[in-house]
This record gives sequence, structure tokens and C-alpha cells, in this order.
Amino acid sequence: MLRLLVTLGLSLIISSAAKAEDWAQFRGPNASGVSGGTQPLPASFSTTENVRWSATLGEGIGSPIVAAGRVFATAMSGPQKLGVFAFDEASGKQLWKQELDTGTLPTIMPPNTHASSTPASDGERLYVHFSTLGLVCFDAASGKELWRRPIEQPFYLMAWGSALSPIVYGDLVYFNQDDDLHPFLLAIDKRTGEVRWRVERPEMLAGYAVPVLCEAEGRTDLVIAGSGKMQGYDPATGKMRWTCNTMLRTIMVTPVVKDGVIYIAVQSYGDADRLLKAALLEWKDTNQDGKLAKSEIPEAFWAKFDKGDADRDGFLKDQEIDDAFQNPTNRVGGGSHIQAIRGGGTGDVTKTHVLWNLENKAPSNIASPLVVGDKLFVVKKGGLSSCYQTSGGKTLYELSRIKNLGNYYASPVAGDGKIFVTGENGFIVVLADEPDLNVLSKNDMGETCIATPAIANGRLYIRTMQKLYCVGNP
Amino acid sequence: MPRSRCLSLAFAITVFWCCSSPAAPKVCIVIDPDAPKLEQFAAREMSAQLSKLFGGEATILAAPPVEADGIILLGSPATNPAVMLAMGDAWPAQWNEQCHLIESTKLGDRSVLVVGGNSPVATLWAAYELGHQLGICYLMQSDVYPAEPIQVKLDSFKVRIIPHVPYRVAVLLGDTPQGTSAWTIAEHERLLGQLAKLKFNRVYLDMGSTGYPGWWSRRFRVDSETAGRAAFKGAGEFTNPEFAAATTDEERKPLKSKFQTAVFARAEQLGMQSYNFKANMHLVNWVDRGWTLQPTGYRVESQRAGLNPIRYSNTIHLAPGDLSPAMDFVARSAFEPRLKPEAAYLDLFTAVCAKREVADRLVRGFRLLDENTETLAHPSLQQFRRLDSTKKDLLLTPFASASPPPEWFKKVKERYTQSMVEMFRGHDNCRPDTRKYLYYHCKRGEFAVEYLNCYESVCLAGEAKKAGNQDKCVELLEKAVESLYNGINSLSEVARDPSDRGLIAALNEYAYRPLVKQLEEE
Repeated sequence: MLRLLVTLGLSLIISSAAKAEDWAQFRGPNASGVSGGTQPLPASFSTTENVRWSATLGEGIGSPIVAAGRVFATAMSGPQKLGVFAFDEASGKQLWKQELDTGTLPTIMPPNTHASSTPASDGERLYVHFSTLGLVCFDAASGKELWRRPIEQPFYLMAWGSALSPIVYGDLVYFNQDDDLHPFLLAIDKRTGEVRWRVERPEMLAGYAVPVLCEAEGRTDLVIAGSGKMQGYDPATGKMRWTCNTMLRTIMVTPVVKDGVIYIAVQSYGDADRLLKAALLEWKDTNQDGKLAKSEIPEAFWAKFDKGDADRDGFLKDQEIDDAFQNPTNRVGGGSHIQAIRGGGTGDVTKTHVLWNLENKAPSNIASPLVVGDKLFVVKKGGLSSCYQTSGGKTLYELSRIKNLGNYYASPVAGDGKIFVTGENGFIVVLADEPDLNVLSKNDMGETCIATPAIANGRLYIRTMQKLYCVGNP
Repeated sequence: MPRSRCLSLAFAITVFWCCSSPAAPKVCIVIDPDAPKLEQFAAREMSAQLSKLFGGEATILAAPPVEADGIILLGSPATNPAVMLAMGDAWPAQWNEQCHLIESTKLGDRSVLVVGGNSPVATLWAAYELGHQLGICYLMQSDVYPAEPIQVKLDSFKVRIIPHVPYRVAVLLGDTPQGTSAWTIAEHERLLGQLAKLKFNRVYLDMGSTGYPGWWSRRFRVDSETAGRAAFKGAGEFTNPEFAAATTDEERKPLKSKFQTAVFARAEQLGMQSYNFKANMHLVNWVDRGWTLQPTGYRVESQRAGLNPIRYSNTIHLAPGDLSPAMDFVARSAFEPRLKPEAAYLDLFTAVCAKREVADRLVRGFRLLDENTETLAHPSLQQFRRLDSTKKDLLLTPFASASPPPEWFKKVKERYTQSMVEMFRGHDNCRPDTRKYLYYHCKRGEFAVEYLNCYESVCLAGEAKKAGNQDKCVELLEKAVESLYNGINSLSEVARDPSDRGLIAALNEYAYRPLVKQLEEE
């Protein structure tokens, strides 16, 4: 009887969880971008070659995910409608589609679009974020909406727009919303949608890093890379365990964790002196009188404006600009660096846990780094790629062209000894996973591609601006 | 309080609230049932515009109503008895057929607004003028309305309009990729509608001489390696679909005839005269030479075919791309001789963007573009300007010359860069629903900067090659190719019509592909 119960229990655990080869959140297992699968992946593919199935979704740049035999994706299916799709992983048959009324949408800047968040799944449920709705949970099998957790809409001084994605760990859904107005980190019960804990992050400015988990020193930390600071939290309580104050001003990339070390490659516009004030005076000071009027700032920020207007003259100037929008304990500028930070610290680890740091190596400001094996790979605009050893940061190759020009917004992913690098122009360059740059192929997906592909069970899932392709060997 | 009293009170409050909620305004447009076709069209246009402007109903009637929030009498004393009754001898006697007015007056004891002209087309212009006076901006691509409905207030108009320039001409089709050479019949028809709103009254259709295929019959390859291919949305080539089936002059003849017939028919419907354009034809037009308008009497100052892709300029050949402000000014100045370009631009941009400080930034941006236009208009820079060269040497010539970038280059690049910054700066604070118009100029500014980066790298690459530094030559050519690719992509992000796509197609053909080939050969 006991044996039967144990077997049943194990079966339940296995069947209710996403499979090990699944790709159940942004950039797959722990947002690493690396597939642990053993099945071969094609090096050559296109909109017609090696396509196992495809579907037209509508506009969107959130990545597809794969969990428990299903592929999930989102798209704007109408001017104020978010479409959430589920497909059978093997056949591509559409299992269900839900449409959510989004209400009035905020103005955002290209290349961002509204369907920009990547969902997460535990195999049983699907968790979707949308800026005007908050978090919505669906039954993964039927598409039935199980709960909805409204979350305040994010606001950005530069109108970049939301592109934040949840993750699932244990019985909680974690969602980090670093915007310019009211940043916070949230943990929600995945079954009920109730808030388990919430941590305000008032020091932060707008950032887009997805939370990652770092196992080190016998525990697991929830790690967020934010403006000026990378921080580790207790996933159960939200208590901050450590902070490493080496980040730059704008963090749009997600760090990668391997063997207890957190790797990040950041490019933030300008140099170290370029604090937020400089950017605001350049772009928001419309009449260029050296000060900000209320009419020059989005209305959502007027309360901050008033608070910062120390002399009550109706303008923000000099120190007032800093004080209005940037926490005094966390004012950092731009630059670029690649860093390795040892996880598992306590308190301020700025001086103790940075293993190595490479300055001015010009990584991308949006495409996250890829750590595969003992190599860290980055790609930036122009198809300029660089590769470094994870131990020590030694250069393997640097700023070498992968023969595909243009912007790179999708993050590289890896599997089957290959690295897949997606350009905005719709070409996916396949590299060999080697210490030297070795371009295997350049594949045309026909249209703009901003979403990071997913890899699961021998298939590559490519989300172009309008369509979803499942690519794999016959 | 007893329940019945509560209910009564609730009911009373509801009734009071309904009655005191403002009803949608009702405006009536009065036109004689036998009015000329063009005036009937004007009535329909006005109805659509006013309905949207006021957020209410603008109905067309045969006689003035007893009551309405606004009563408009459309036409002239000759075409609308109500106008005769309202204006009588007050209608200007010595006017020519282009004159028109918008005037508040009385019809009996009712306040009315007379909107009309001394000919049916002048009445149409009066109708469009009213739209303009009430806040509609007529751009080449579309109309921009005020963000919110406006109040009906028609009681203080006294606008009398006499043309200072009798012919306002647009030359269509033509011989430049940035013109309308790849526009379809339907797209020309739509454009003519916009030109009518700006009171253009002549159309010249430039279909080239016999034996000359013209830009509009060219076919440009679009493949996976085409820079900015997203603009073509999967099409395998770029051409004018109206002529795509023809490969010889004989085959083109019936297609040209069909094209001309359709475009001329639409022009006539809009009260425009239409002609086939011939070389050295008298063109009566204002030519915008920057902030100093140079009236040229009855001849165009200069021929500007073959635009440099980064020059801001109007031309005798309509290039809709970034010409909305210029066309607006040209059109208005034909009736307002004292109007200065800067004032016109400020008016237009303030209306489109809803903020004067945004308009200021755009004016600065366009002023910088115009300064560059003046610099690049110098005859010695013709090689730099001509995109329509068939020799594919747009960038190979400076490479071969192996000289550093010319003297004017640095200043021109600074101006383009600053212009782009001004456009982005304005864009950030613009009314949200009209940002796309500014974003268009932001991205074209980006293209200009990248194009010049490319040009600079090409010059330096040529120098390096001449000096025997082949590695440096290759590095700089790679940089040049990348800059041009990025610039063309910027254009493609905001490509909205065949003119934009024509520019991209031509840049690929005459600049990008030859440069890539040169790089491969090095």
C-alpha cells in the first residue's frame, strides 16, 4: 500500500510538473537560453524548410514557451485584444485561444509592441502578464481563466512600454516590475492568485530583467538585475539577502546563472556621468531651457514632479531633477560591462563577490548574454559577436561579424551544440558551439523577428512578428 | 425616508441628469437640390468633416432648418438661393472664379455661416478652408483632426480669399523614385483628394516621352539580402503594379492610357485641370527655396529631378515623403502673400502636435534640413545628389576618388544630426495619436546621418586603399556597408507609401548592392 501511494504520489508530481526538456518561461530553464535536450536540432531551416508546423498569430514579440506537450504564445489579436494561444507541441493543432480585452493601451516606443511579455507555465497552468491587466492565470489544458491578479500599470519616463515576464518557482509566480514610477517585486500564490509577499524597490529605475534563481551556499536566491544594483532575495519571504552595486543605469538584459555564478552583460547609453538627469534634459526638455516643466513630463509622474520641485517655482532644475526621479542612494550612469558575480552572499557584496569585470566590451543593451559550457557569448548590433571564458573572462574572440547586419533584440539560445542568433531582420544565424567563431548557416524567416526563440524536445520555436514556426528535423 | 420617496428622488435625479447632459451638436448644411455636382461633393465632404470635428451630426438639407446649433449655407448666390437671400449685394461683385469666402451673417433672424465661392470648385475650396479654420490639418497622407471634438461656434467668421497665384500645380508620376512614380491609380486618386484640400487646381502627369520607359515602369529586385526588405512586406520586386504586365512600349500604351484616363477623371471630379507634362512646359508654381520664398513669376526656378535621398526639398515633381509642411505653406501662400514659411510651419506643427514647444523643435529641425538643402543644391554637388543615376556609382565614385570627405561634409552632417535630435525631442512630447507623423521624420533623420556615416567611411576607405592599407580599406568598407544598411532599415521602419519604398529600392540598387559587391571584391 505504501509503495502504491509513493508511486502514485511520484506520478502526480511528475505529471503535474513541466517536463525537464520543456522551455517553460522566457529563455527556458532559469532564463539561461540553453536547452538540456539531447535531440538534434536543424542547422538549416526557413519558412518552408524543416518546418514541422506553423501558425499565424498576429503582432507580438513575447517569446513562445513549451510545457507539458503544449506550446503557448501571445499576440495582439485586435486593437484592444490580447490573444493567448495554446498549440499541441507535436502537431501544431490549436488547442485553445483566449482573447482578453485590454482596454485603452498606453503609448509606447518602437520596437516594443504591446504583446511583449513571455508567459510562464508549470505544466498545469499558464501565467500571462499584460500591462493593463496584470497577471492572468489559465488552465493549461482547457484555457479556462482561473484567476486574475490586477497589477498597477507600469510607467516609463521615456515611454518604452512594458515587456516584463513572470517566472514560476515552487508554488509561487514571481513578477518583477521595475518601472520609473513605482518599482516592486511580487510573489503570488500560483493556485489562487493571492499575493504572498510584495517588496517595494524604490531605488530602481526602469529595467526589464527577468528574475533568475541562483543556487549557491546551500540555498536558492531569487536574483534581480536592476538599475545600479543586482540583488538576491529569499524566494519564500522576499527578504533581501544581498546586494551587489555594480550595475549600470538601464538594465534591459537578464542575467544568466551557472554553477552558482551570475553572469551579466550590460550596455547602458552614455558614460558614467550620464545620470538620468542628462537623458531627461536631452529628450524631455522640449523647449531646451535647461529645466523641466510639468507639461514636458508624462502625467503619471506629476506627483514625483511636485515632490521634487523644492523651490515651488513650477519647474525642475539641477538637483531637483535628480531628487524627483532618482533615489539618492542609487544614482548611476551608463557604460558597458560584462561581469561574473558569485552568488550566495550576504549583505553588501560589491567588494567581495565580483569575480571578474570587463569594461567597454560593448555587449548589446537588449539581447541577454548566453553562457554555454565554459563560454559566455554576446552579440550586438551589426552582428558583432564576442565570446569570453566564464572563468576569468579571457577573450576567445571579440567583435567578430556573423555576417548578418542590423539590430539584435532577441537573445541567443543554444542546444545540440549550436547557438542560434536571431536578428531583427528575420535572419537566424546558427553558430557552432565552439571557442572559435564558426558560422554554420544563415536562415531566413522572412519577416521581422524580435522574440527570443524557444527550444524543446528537438524543436526550435521561432516567433516572427506575425507568425509562429516549429522547426525541427523530419 | 420612506422607500417610495427614495425612489421618486432617484428618478428625479436621473431625469435631471439626462436632461442636463449635453446632447450631441447638430449642424445643418444647406445646399440647393440642383446645385452643381462639385458643390454637392463639397457638401458631403463638409458633412463628414464637421461631424467628426463637432462630435455630432452634420446633416445636408435643401432648406434652412428652424433650429440647429449651426446653419451653413453652401454655395454662391448663383447656385444657392439661400446664399442669395443671406448675402445679396454683400457678395463680392468683382471676384474671379477662384475667390471664395466664409462669412457669418444673418438669414432673417437666424445666424448662418455662408461658405462658398464664385465657382463650384471655389465652393469646394471654401468648404475645405472651413475645415482648416476649425483645426483640420491636411497632410499628404491623411488629415489630422483636433484631439477632442470642438464647440460649434460659427458666428464670427469673416474670411475672404483671393488667390495670389492663379495656378497651383502638382506634377505626378515623373522620374524620381521618391515621387509618385510607383503609385497606383487608387493611390493617385487619394493623393489628388489631399491636394484638392490644399486648393491645387492643376495636375500635370509626367509619363515620359515615347520610348522612355520612365521610373514608373522599372522593376527593382527585392530579395532576402535587400536592406530594409521589411518595407516590401514579402514582395519579390518593387514596381508600379499598374504597369507591371508591360515590357515594351506597345504594351505600355494601353496601360498608360488607362492610367491617364483614371487620374484625369479624378482630377476633374475635384475641379482640377489636368495635362500631360512635357519638358520645358510652363509651370506656374511657387518654389520653396528655403525660408526665403522666391516668386518666379510664371516659370519654375530650377528643375530638381534626381533628388538626393537625404535632401529635404520640394520639387516640381511631387515627392510626398517629407513634403507636407512645404506643400501646406506653398498652398496657403498662394492665397496669403504675406505668409512666411516659419509662421506656416509653426501653425501646422502646433495643430498636428498640440504643443507649441513641440512645433518649435520641428521648425528648428526643418530649418536645419533646409540649410542643408541650400548647401547641397550647389551645382558642383550634382553627383552627390543624383540617386537616379543608372551607373550605380553613387558611392563608388567617392571611393574611387580616394579623397577625404569634402569640406562641406562636416557641417552638413552636424545639421542632419541636430535635425534628427530635434525631431526626436519633439516626438517625445507630441500628442500621442500624432506621434507617428513625427516618428517618420525622426527615422528619416536617422537615415540621413547613417548615409553620411557611410559616405564618410567610403571616402576614408578609398584613401586607405590608395595608401596601400588594404586591411583598413576593408574595415572601413564594412563600416560603410553597415551604416548604409542601418540607415535604409531606419527608412523601412516608417515606409508608408510607394515613394518611401521607391527610395529604399533605388538605394539598394544604386548604393547598397554596389557597395557590398565592392567590399566582396576587396
